[in-house]
Amino acid sequence: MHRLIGGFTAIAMVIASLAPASATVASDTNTVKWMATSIVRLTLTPNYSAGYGSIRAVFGTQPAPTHGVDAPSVGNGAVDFGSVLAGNSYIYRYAVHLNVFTNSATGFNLYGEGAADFFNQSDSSTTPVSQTVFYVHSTATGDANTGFTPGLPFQNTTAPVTGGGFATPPTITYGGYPAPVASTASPAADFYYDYELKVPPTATGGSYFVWIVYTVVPQ
Amino acid sequence: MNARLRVALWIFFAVCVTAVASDPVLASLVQQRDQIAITVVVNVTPAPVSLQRFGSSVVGHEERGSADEVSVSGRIRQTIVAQASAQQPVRVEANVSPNPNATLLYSDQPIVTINATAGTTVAVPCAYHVNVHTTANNWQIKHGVSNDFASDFVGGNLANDTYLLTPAPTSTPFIVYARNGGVWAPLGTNSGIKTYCVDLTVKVPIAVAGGAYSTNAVYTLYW
Repeated sequence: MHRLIGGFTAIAMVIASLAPASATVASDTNTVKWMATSIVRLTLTPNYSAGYGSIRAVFGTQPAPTHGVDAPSVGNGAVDFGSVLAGNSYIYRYAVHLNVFTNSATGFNLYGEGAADFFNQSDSSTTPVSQTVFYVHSTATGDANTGFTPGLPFQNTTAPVTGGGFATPPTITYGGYPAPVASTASPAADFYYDYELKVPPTATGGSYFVWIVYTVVPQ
Repeated sequence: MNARLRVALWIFFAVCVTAVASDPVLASLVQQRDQIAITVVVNVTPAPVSLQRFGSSVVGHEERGSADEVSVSGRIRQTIVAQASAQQPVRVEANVSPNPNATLLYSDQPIVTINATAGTTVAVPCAYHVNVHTTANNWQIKHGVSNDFASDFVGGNLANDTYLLTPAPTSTPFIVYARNGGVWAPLGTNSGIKTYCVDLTVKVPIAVAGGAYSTNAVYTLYW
């Protein structure tokens, strides 16, 4: 097949070379169109470094971090604060590492939202995720953040959510995007975050959870 | 009681008072009972260029629509398909236990969000309340912010007017704990159940870049 095409191409070139030369050279703007296939890859690693876990907010010497049973080891599980007291605040060190790789020459936006509010499985009550779960910039190692390090709140998404039960990772389908948690002009980047938990003083006892969903969109 | 015995008793009393006042162990009879933090988020909109006197740069954010093909005519430009995205979730969990002391010191707002343009001052009357719920007498409450918003947006740009009934004529900048030798500023001494109203005023320097900034207003209760 390739030989056949090559033959036709050669014949066409010979015919073209035998044609009389034109007296004038026509010029035109050539428009080339192509489809650009994007590459967008997001790798999320929970509990990304030794020393991960929850610490009650105190000034001065920091207690050793602890974690719940659903945060079994480095790189695995959930961000499980374990046992906490109503009315207290906590930081969870080394909560998530996000590695983003794209082929976008203009960078990308990183979005992070709650798929719902902070939900108590014991009595189905909720507390607003925007008043309960916060994120704090962290580092790959040597995290020195405390429960009083200023953080920013996650918002409960207004976009449609599929899934989102305790054992069902959710998907958010965006029509429009919220304010990004990070934005960069680079095609690839790493992000490290601690989480903070502010438990309302009137929170009822029970096992709470919320899914935080990260989305990467090229700019 | 003879005069010599009376003098001896006075000397003993004076020694005791001096010991209590100078001994840190005895002085620590006043203890920290509770501490809370209210997150203060300031969403800053960059100042209009015409207001920027010293040429601080404004980083423009170019919004682009999606494009699934690109024309090349004269210059080369490549645009990625904008609809492509990647998504990953992580579950956050906690097992909450009720806390009988959770309402000893608490606020009605765990977070306050203020929208401001760089170069302007925004006031928020009664942004939150701080409640002390105890029968103890002569408790003390102290306050301050934990950190600066940023190196060019210090915590002292956030001022407060904290009062029980009547606002003060002016606001007072918060002290920044991290730069105040680890000392909080006294707010008041009182007894029993009290509710403070906190008016906030934030002054955003004109050179502050757009974005979200936060700090913690911290309240500590002692008796």
